[in-house]
Amino acid sequence: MTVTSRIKTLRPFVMAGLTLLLVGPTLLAVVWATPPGKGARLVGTSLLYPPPTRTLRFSHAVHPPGDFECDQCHVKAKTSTSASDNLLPGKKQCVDCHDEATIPKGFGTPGKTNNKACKKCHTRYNLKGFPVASRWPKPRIRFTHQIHIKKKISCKKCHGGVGKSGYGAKRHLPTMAQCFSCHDGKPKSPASKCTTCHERTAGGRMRISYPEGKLKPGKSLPDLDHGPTFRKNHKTEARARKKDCYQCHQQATCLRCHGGIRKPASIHLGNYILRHGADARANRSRCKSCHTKQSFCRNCHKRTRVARSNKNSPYRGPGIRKFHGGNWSSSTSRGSAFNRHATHARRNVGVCVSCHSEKDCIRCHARRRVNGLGHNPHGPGFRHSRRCKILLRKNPRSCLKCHGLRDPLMGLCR
Amino acid sequence: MKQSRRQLFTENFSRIQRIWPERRRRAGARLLPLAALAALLVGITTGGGVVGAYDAMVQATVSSQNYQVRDAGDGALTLSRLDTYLRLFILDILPRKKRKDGREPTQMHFVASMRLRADFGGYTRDWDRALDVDGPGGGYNPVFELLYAHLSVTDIAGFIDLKVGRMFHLDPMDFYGYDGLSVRFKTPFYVAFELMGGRRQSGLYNSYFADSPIFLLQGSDNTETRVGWMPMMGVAAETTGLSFLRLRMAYRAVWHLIDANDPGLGYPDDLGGDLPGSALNAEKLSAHATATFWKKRLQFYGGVRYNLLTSRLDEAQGGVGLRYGRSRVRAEYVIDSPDFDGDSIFNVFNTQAYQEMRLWYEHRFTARWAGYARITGRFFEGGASDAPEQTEQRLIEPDIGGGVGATYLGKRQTARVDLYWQEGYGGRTLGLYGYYRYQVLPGLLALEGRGVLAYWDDELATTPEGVSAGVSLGARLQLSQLASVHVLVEDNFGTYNKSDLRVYAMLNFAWCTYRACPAGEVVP
Repeated sequence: MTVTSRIKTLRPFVMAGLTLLLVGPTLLAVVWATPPGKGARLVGTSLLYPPPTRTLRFSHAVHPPGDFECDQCHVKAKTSTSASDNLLPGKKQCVDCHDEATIPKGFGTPGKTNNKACKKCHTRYNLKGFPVASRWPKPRIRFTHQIHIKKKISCKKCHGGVGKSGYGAKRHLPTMAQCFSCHDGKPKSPASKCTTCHERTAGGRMRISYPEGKLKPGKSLPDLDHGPTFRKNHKTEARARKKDCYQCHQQATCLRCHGGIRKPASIHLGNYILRHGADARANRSRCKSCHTKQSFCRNCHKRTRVARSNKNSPYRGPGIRKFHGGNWSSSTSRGSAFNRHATHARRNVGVCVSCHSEKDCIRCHARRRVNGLGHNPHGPGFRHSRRCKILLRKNPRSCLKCHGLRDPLMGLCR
Repeated sequence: MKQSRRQLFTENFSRIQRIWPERRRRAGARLLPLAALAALLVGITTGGGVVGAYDAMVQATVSSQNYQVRDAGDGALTLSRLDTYLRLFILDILPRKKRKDGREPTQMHFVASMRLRADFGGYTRDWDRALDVDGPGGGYNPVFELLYAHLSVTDIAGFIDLKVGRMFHLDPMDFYGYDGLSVRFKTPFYVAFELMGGRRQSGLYNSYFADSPIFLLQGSDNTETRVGWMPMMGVAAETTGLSFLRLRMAYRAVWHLIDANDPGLGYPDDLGGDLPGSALNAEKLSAHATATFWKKRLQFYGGVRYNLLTSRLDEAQGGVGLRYGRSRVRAEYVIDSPDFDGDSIFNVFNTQAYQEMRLWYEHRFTARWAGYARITGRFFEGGASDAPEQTEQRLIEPDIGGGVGATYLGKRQTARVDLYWQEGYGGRTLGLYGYYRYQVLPGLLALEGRGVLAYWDDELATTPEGVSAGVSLGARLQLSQLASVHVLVEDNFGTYNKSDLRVYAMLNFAWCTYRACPAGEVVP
């Protein structure tokens, strides 16, 4: 192929690559700059504490904790056993301090209260002039104030800074890191399972899916952070911490990819079948973690006529086409120069079995008395090694395939 | 003569009365063993307790894909594949009572997963019985597989977990499937003991229903030699309840029983009946430890798996991970040997483990943007033979690679870009990948696109060198809380293909009780 024709062949791909390089970042920049829409999906703490609709004015700063006890207004907190309990103060708690005279007329009475006095507190009104009610969606956690108050944990430990602010906001709610300061998994610490604080579904698993989005381990779980490399690196976590994984995932989640028949687009990109050979030889993608069955490779290689076991394979028969190139294997000439296959087989014999069966190896490596050529496939010192003895004692079947029963060499191992 | 309604009813009723006892007897005889088994399981595990409440969920996923595969003679084979997954969950079968001492209550669950897969088109030619399950020579070839189905009872008497049925086992250094029983005893001293026993799945019986294929060891001889019962047993001890330290030691052994007189096993003729009918197929000892320090920011881990049958190290790994601020770094060292079942001759070959070093760095630029860089070095040894005429030098050939990438995880958009490179033993690969997904109607409709550009150079393969580019567009539509459709159209073109269209469609649907799928939870 000339240089010109090669350039012509490659031109579309170069153009496609340049387009991808130019369009990709531009698209990302546009995405980044685009404000989220109304129905935007929530992530992280927003998912656990859905944003409220506040239509009242209130300031904690003018009710500082030094002057007031928290439970003076939040009277139900002491007995609350659920995070969804409404702990906001009612009219009674306000009236305890605020004289009836200072409270506008009609306070607490539903109706048109769109006057100046009402606007001191109510911030939003509908078209008919009625104040819009505040909405406080239930938090999606499991929590009991009662137990924590009984343990004499001060309010500010979890709701620090609220006394200096106006409204109580998301930033005044406890984070996972704060929870972990006590629920730290050490002996004698309080329970530290995911479902201790998170909602649980049937089967005792943690609930991760909500209409607005899904929960993922965040920065509070640095050893489980599902960052950009997690998909390729999850092996260590999945194996050592499978119970943590099963808090959110099911076994079926593993088999979605490891079941070996569905091609995950993010792992085997594009036309991966065409170029999988280089990766398979070096076992770069750890093929066996999904394709455990040997016949997965052999069956496909046979159907696509790559394997010689297909009678229509172009590699079948002497001198037609060579799959492995020259000096791959020789039954007469010995040494690495004539038997390149040995080095490759030692490195990753898993690739050999993607086309060949044991019979192909036995043909040359079996002893002459069992119709082989007697080429030794064992490593240096094998016949006197402990490995040889143990294998022969525990499972002699693999030895018998090449040596037969009465081979004197077998006696050396015993 | 026309019969009155009353006469007809009387006649039919007396007929049913005659037939019914016989039918009932027949049905009873068929159902008796099943009913007895179910009663036994429930009786044993609950100690006569009453089934109080349960939640159930059935999930089904049907996916179909159609694309072309290039064969060694530059021809194209059409591959059409249809997979159907069916998963069943019966959860919280026992009453949901709280223990007075605060420990978890005894609970029972049943889970099962099965799939039906079938290939169509020219790709199914030369279907080989020796390589796969029974099937006609070409054409439609459905395979039904029971992936797992087990009943589990947790916290019996507060300290025993029991699992019975078909299951797969995943532990830090091992992964296998078996039919049998697993019992776990938790002691108050932060240690748990585990006993496992049953029949190892080999995937080689004619029916995958009886023998799931996906948890099979890699590489062996022609499949016929491996057909036979594979009883197994295992024991393990591990720490429990300590989140900062996890230790596990495990041992397992698998035997393989075959018919020694079977002439199709591929052994030399002079063996006669002297072939051992029973032999160890696998015997492994493994240990793994993970420890976290500094509020889980610093993590050390390491493990080894030793093959007692072949007296060599199967796998060893050690690593350290550190998270500091917005950065995360991980370094890992791995030794990996090829792993075969005990009957394979590859166990006695002079195969060499490869060694690998990996270094990963991750950084979160913002809450939504993250980037990473990685570098990998893998070293393959050639090894020398003990044959005197083969005085080959020990060859070490590296395979070096790396990659950089960035991800964006937004409220409505998700994007990813990866650039990767790998060179050395095996060949050379260079690729660029981009992915973008946009929630057009959040929770209802999402659109996605992918772009791939790859160059490879492989001195051995049938497609030695080339460039391949691909573009795919997809949409995911959430039809309801319990149903969704995902469609993907992909076109690949390059040195060997002008166009290679792939169409993929997936339908998910589920049924569940309220507690199994709370309101608003998107199931499939």
